[in-house]
Amino acid sequence: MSSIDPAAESVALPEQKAAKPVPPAVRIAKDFLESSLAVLGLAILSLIILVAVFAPLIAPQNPYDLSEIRLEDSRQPPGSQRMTAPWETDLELAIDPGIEGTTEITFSEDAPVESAALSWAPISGEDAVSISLEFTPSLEGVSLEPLRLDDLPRGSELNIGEKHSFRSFWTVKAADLQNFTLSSSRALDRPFELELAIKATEGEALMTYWLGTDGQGRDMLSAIMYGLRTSLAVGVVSCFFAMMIGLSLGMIAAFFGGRIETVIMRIVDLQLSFPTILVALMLLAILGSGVEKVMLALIIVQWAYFARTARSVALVERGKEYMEAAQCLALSKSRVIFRHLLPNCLPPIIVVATVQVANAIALEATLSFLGIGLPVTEPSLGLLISNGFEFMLSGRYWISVYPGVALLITIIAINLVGDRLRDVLNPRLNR
Amino acid sequence: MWRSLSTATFAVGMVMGATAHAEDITIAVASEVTAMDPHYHNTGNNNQIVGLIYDRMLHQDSNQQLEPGLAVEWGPIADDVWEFKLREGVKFHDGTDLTAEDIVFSYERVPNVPNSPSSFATYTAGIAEITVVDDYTLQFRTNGPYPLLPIDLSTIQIVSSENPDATTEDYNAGTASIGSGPYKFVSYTPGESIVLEANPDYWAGAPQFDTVIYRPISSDAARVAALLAGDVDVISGVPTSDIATLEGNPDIVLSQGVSNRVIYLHVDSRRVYSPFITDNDGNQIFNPLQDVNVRKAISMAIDRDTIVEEVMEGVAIPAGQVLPEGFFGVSENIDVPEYDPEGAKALLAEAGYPDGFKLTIHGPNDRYINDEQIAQAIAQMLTRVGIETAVETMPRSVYFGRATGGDDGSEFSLMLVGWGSGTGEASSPLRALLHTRDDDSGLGRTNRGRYSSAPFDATLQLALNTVDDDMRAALLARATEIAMREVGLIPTHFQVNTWGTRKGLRYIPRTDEYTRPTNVVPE
Repeated sequence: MSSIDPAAESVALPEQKAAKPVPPAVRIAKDFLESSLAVLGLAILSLIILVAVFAPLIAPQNPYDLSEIRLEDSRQPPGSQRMTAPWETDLELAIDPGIEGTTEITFSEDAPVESAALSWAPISGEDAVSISLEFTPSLEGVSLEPLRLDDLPRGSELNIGEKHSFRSFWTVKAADLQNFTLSSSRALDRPFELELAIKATEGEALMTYWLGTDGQGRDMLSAIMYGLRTSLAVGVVSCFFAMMIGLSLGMIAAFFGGRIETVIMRIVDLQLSFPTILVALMLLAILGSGVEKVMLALIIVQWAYFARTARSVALVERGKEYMEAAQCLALSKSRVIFRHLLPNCLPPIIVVATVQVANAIALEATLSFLGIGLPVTEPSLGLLISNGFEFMLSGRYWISVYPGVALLITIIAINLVGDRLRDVLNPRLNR
Repeated sequence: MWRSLSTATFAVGMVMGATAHAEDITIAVASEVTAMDPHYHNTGNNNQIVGLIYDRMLHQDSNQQLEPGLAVEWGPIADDVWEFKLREGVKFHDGTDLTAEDIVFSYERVPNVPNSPSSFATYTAGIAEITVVDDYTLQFRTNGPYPLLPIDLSTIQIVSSENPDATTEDYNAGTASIGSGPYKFVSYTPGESIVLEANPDYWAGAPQFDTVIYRPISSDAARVAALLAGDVDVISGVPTSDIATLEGNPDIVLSQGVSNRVIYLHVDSRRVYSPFITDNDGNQIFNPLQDVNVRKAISMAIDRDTIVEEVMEGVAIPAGQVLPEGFFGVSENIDVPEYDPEGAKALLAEAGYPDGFKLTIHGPNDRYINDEQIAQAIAQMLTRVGIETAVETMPRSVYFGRATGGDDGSEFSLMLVGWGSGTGEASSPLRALLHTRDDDSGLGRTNRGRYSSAPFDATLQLALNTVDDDMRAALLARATEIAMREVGLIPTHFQVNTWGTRKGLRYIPRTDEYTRPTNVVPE
């Protein structure tokens, strides 16, 4: 056993002398960076991953929190704003027409004005009272609905504003309130209370819906960020596990051959003979919905690709001398498979994995578009597109188009990276 | 000479071309039939089509008022005996006469259709015995006074007794599809089309169209696109989001009508534990929905106006009971519950849930107008008052079976459903949705929340046995008031349906939501 070891080293020695060793990772990185398109893809992909990972920190809204989204803001076009509820208040103006008087009214903290001073004086000889209401600071800067003055004593009228045609209130301007007269056709001998309803036209802007909102009032930009998160997580996780399973089974098939290989590879053939989407649909119908169920379904439909690729690569590698050497050393089978065979099978598998991540994302989007898989309150990109689909004819393009663009960019970026990796890792294309 | 002749030929050709076009009609509907057997499944999708091939003793007009059908005269001759006189000379599509025997056969077939997902037996359960007096006279003895008999009979199609052993498959294949209605069965291709042709010998006269083609197009957008492209002449269920755009299109005519369908929440109000209710940490708790105050709080937390304005885009009516204003048996004393989130929180706190609890609302995603959106909107509103609500929606093929559930009751805790009153009056929803479930009498068959209230049951029973119309209306209204006070279910809104037709045609809306060529008129 030990007598073979020096032989193995003696093979390696002349190589060390022949060339300055370049670590393979560096060579691959260098090759990769030669294509500007791939670099662009990588940059976009990195950005998307960053956005997805940090979505809870940078998204303007948590689109999955039902208490944060507002139905009142549904289907708003891009660029519209989320407003606070407009300021409104009802002032009770208590007036005793028999005597002169003043009252101070203070407002709550959220009001745009601090206080108002009400003063009145009876006009001698007439059944009338002159009233003045001054706001500090003045109401001029605040945009208001027409002010409504209600509960006038019977038979009285104002010298400002206009009475509603059949209801009891008067519509007045804020500026006129500084000095106006209430005169009555009857004796004004007892105190009365006027009611002034003030309502601002709009509240303060809380946030801007840069990409509009969907049918539930969800901010599209946040929903896309969170959707990317779900899509990428589903794609990467399901691919990782599918790769683990597929790679192991593929190598085992190639390494052992015979009956084991036949069984495994026939299962792979069987699996690949069905359309992926069909198998995934059937699985989800059985499994029910939920993120983990979707991942499980995607793992089940994807492992076969990895198994087939792994087997073909491993078949080639198995015939090489280093494998014979390892076997001659009587190393354990698992050690040979996982320490010797596996690392040499990896490059093509990495390429398949990148492409499969893109496929998994697209498949997940397809499944959600068909309305199965993820819960409706936590939409992924596919579900967002599907939700917006019904609004397309009515011209509300943003609900569908923006998530669609996000999905498209993600998949293109992954494919650009994957394509370049294939070129770089393929020994036949090496110059 | 030659010239004028050719002009004349041309003109004739034009006229013929125009009429041939006008006499065929293609109708796109949102849902497919489950069978062409008229007694298999009591659902609007089936009834609207089989009701063209077969006839009924009495007809319901567009507002669900009764009209003579196969029966020309009817009335009680004793407290529990009704007599019906049949129209003479009515023939089936195969040329045989329709007689009292066929009617008896049809009513006897109804409870015996195997695997029926929703049986018409509710409408025949009250009949004790049918006596054939002569070929054109029938007497029905009922279990006690039964004022609803004519209405109930108006829902059941009459088939020919020539095929006593016909199965549902025979009806689907067309071999047994012998009716006496205005249209004859031509073909049924599941998922593709149902073709009917005119019955020129129909007793009320030959129908307007020679050929009627029903096409199921479940996607709203695709259905609208088919109408815009001229592939179909009439579509049902115009999506609310497209109404504004289509209104501005001169080639399309829209018509709208209030339906008899209430959209509501069934509340699991009897079980000690409810499958989808936990405390905020996910631990099982006693079902809070047993408490009427919690149910009331949920009702108060729902902003019906916002649902109507935002989700339905104004095309719906906020609901406080099971049928909209104007229908028989509707209460005038019930207002739409006011939106009061603070009040709802206070009620929850009083009931012992100051921090709320967690629940899941379930709903279909392909049955009612904007159903999935409504479920989400309600979840949003409940979450705001502290009841953290998740949403799960599914296709109706899965949903309704699970919502109705087995002997243990529904698989869900809070579910969004709708109910159209097949009889056009209040007893239909009250009997099916709110009466204590009783399999023998067929009452409460669809009571998925298992609401049960002795005063309600007693009032409803009294109403069902009251022959006097005004009295019965008052009792139905009273029963509704009891159920709404105890929040037996939570109504949200009444559907308003929109039909689209191509220019030149107009659809007369039906409260039962049916889409039938007999309601299509020239504009």
